[in-house]
Amino acid sequence: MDPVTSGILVVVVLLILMAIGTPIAFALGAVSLGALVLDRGIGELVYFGETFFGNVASFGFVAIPMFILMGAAVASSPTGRDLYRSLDLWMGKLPGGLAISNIAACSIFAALSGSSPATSAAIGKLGIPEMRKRGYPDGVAAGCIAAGGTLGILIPPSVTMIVYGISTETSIGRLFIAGAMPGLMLAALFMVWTLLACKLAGGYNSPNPVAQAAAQIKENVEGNLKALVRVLPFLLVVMGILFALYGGVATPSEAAGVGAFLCLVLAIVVYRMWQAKPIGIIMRDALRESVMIMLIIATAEIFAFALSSLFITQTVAGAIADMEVNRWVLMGVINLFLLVAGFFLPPVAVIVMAAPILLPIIVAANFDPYWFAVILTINLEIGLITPPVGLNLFIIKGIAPDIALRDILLGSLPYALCMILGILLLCFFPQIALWLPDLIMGAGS
Amino acid sequence: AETTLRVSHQFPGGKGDVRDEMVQLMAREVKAADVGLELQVYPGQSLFKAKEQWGALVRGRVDMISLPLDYASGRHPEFSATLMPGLVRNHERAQRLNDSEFMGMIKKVINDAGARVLADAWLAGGFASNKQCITSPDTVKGQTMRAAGPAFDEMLATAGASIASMPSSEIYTAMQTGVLDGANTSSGSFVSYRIYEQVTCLTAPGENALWFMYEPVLISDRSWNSLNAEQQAALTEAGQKAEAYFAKEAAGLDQKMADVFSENGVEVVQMSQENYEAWLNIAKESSYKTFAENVPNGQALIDAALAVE
Amino acid sequence: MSQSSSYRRASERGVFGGYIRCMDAVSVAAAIVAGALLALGVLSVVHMVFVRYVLGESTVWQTEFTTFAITASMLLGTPYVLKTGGHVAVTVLPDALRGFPKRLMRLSASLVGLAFCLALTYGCWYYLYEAYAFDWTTGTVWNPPLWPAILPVAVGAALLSLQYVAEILRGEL
Ligand code: NA
Ligand code: NA
Repeated sequence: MDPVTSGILVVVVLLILMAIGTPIAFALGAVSLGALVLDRGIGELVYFGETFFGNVASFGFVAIPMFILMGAAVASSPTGRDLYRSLDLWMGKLPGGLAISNIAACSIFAALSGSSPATSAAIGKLGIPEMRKRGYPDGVAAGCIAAGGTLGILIPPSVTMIVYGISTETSIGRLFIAGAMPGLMLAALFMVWTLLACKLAGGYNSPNPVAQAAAQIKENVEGNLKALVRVLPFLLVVMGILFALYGGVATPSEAAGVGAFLCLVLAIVVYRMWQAKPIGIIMRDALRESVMIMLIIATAEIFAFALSSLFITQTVAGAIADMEVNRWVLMGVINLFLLVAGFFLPPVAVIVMAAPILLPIIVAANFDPYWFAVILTINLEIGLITPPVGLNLFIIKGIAPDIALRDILLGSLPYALCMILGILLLCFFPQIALWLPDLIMGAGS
Repeated sequence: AETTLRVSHQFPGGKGDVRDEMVQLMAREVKAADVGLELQVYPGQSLFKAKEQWGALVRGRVDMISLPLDYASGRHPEFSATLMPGLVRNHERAQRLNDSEFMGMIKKVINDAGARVLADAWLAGGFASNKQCITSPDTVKGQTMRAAGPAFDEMLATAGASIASMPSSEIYTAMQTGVLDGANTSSGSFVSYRIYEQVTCLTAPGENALWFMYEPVLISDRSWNSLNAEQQAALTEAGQKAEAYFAKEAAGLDQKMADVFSENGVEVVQMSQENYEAWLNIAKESSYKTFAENVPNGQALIDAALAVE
Repeated sequence: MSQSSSYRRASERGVFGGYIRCMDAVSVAAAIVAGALLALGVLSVVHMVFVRYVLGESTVWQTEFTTFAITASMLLGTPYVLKTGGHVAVTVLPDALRGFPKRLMRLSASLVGLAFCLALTYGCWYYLYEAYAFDWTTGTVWNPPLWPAILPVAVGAALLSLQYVAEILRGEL
C-alpha cells in the first residue's frame, strides 16, 4: 500500500475509534499497533514494550509530572481564592470587572502552573459560581475561564513547551521566555473582548452594591494584604526556578523537581496543610493529570513511530517542502493543519506528532523556531476550547454541569478569535515573542 | 525484484553531518550499482531513538544502522571499550586498530549478536574549558566537567574533576552560566554547538588524543542473508567507499574545529606524550580497572588494544 | 462531551462483583505506590541539585533513578486513572444514542482499549523477561540492571488490563 493511502486509512480509523468513545490515548496506541503489525508482522508486538518504555522513560519528560505536581500544590492551597479576592477588589468597579479579574487571576495562576486544564480548574472553581451569582451571563462566565485557562501553556512554565523542546531539540528555557510576552498580549486581548462583551450586554458591575462594598472594605483591605503576603512565597519560588531555567543554571527537570518540592513545602508551612488528607489530594490531583498527559504523549510517540515506519511522515513532509509557495502561504497552510488537528487531539499529542516534521520545513523557510513554538502553542490553545476534544471545556463541564454546551461554545468562540488575532499580530511583529529571549539569553543561541 | 533496506541513524539528515553523508554515500553507490537494491535512510532518530537502534537491528526491525557502538554497552559491556579513554590515540592508529585482534574481538560480539560491520568509523574529540587548558591530569582538578561516556566520567573524577551529566545540547548554556567549567565531546559537536563562544582553551586531538568513539555502519544478519551475492558485493563495496570517505573527513573535522576555535580567539593546544601517558596511568587505575572487573574478557580487550603499534 | 465513562456502581453480588471490588482496591493501592514514587523522584532531583550545586560534587545515580521512579509512577497510576474516568475520551456520539446501539458502541470502544492494554502488557513483560534473562544494564556510569526499572511498568500495564476488564464488567452488569 502506498504511504498516502495508508496515511488516510490510519487517520480515518483513528477518528472512528475516537468517535465511538475509546479514550484518546488507547485509540492512538491501538491504531498505531494495528498499522505496525499489518505492515511489519506480529514481531512488532513482541518488541512493543521496549519502544513504549523508551518513549516514556526520558529525563526530559520527567519534568512534566513534576511541573504538574508543583501546580497541584499551589492549586490545593487557598492561593487561587486569595488571588481572586485581591483582584476582585481592585477591578470590581469596571464594567465586567469580575470577569476581567478572572482573566488576570488565570494569567497569574498560569505563571504558577504548566498546564491549561489545571489553570481553568483552579480559577474556575471559584470564578464561575461567583460570576453567575453576580449576574454574568453563563457564556461570559464559562468563556473567560475556558479561554483564560489556555494561558497555562503559553505563560511559562509550560508542559507543551517542554514537549516541543524535547521533540525538536530546542532550548526549553528559551521557549519558556518566548511565551511570556505573547501570553500577556493574549491576556490583554481577552480582557479587551470581555470589557466589550460586558458593555454590549449592559455592563456587569452591578450586584456588588456600594453599601455592601463599603462594609467589606475594611475586611477586604486587611484580607487582601494577608492574601498577597501568602501568595508571594509561591510567586517567588516559581520566579526563582524560572530564573534558574532561563539562566541555564538548571535543566527543566531540575527546576521542576526543586519547584515541586518547594511548593509542597510552602503549602505545608504557609497554609498549614500538614495532615495526610490535603497532601493526599495534592498527590492524587497531580497523579491524575500527569498520568493522563504522559500516557497520551507515550501513545502519540508510538503513533508518530508508526507514521514514520510506514513512510507517511516523510511523504507528507516531502510534499509540504516541495510546495513552491510563498513562505507566508506555507505558514497559513501549516496553521490550518494545526487548527484542524487541535480540534481532535490534545496539544501534547499534536506537538509530538507534528513538531519534528514541521520544524525542518519552518527553519528552511527562514522562520524562527522559537517564534514558531509560540504560534503553534496559541494555535493549540484554540484546540483546548473547541469540540470535540477540548480539555478546558471538559473542566468547565465538570465545574458547572448545568451550563449548556452551546452557551460554553458561544461564550468561548470570541476568545478563539482573539487567539487568531494574536497569531496574526505575532506574524506582523515577531519581536513580541523574540525580544525577551534575545534580551535575556542573547540573540540566537 | 527491488529490495529496500531501511537504514536508521540519529544524526541530522541532509545537513552535511559526516555520519549522515557516509550513509547517503552508500545509498548512492548501491543505487548506481544497479543490483535491485535500495537504501531508504531514516535520519535524525526519525524511526528509532538513538538508544533503541541496536535492539531494533538485532531483531530485524530495521535493516541497517549507523551507531555509536557504546550506546549498546548496556547489552554488551564489551562495547564500552570503543569509547574508552586513550585506547585509540590518533587517526592513523585507528586505521591499524581496525584490522587488529582487538577489533576482531569486538566484531565477534557484534557477529554473535546477529549483525555485521559494513564500514568502520572512528570519530575523534577533545576537551574545552573556560578555566584552564586541559592537558595534564592535574589541570582538571576542581573543574566541573561534562564528559561523553561513563569511562571518561570515571577517569576525570579520579583525576579530581567534578562530573555533571547532561546531553551535549545543554553544554552551551551550562558553560555560559558557569555550571560547567569544561566539557569533553566530539570535534563535530564542539563546532555545531558553538562551544567556542564560551571557552578560553581547546585541547584538540592531535598525535595524542584521549577521546575516540567507534561509530560503524551495521547490517543485521537477517537482512544480509536475504540479499543475493550481487547485492552483497555491491553493499560491501559501498561500505568500503564510505569507510574511506569517513576516514578522510574525520581528520578534516578535527582541523575544522581547531580552525574555528582559533578564529574565535580560543587558545588551541594539544596533549604531549607525557600528558597522554599520565592520563593513561589514571585510566588504568580507574576506568580500565572497572572495565576489566565487570567484563569477562575485559582485561584481554584492553591488552589487545594497547598492543597495537 | 465529557470525560470517559463515569464511575458506576459495581454490581454488589457474585463473582464479578467481587472481582470489580477487588480490582478497585488494587488500583487504589497501586495509585498510592505511584504517588510515593512520584514524591521519591522529586526528592532525588532535589538531592541531585543539592549535591551538584551546593556541595559541588559529582552526581551519578540521580538522573536515572528519577527517570525510572517517575516512569514507574505514571504506569502504576494508570489503572486508578482509568477507574476514575481520567483518560480523556470523546463520548458525544455514544451519549447521543440509546439502548442496544449505545451499549454496543461502548463495548466496542472498551474492547479496543482493552486490546491495546493487553498488547502493552505482553510487550512490557516480554521486555522485562529479556532484560532479566540477558542481564541487560543501562550502560551509564551508574549502570544498574535494567529489569527493576521495567518491572513496575509491566505490573502497571497488567493492572491496567485487569482494571479495564473490571470497567467492562461494571458497564455490562
Ligand atoms: Na504556565
Ligand atoms: Na479541540
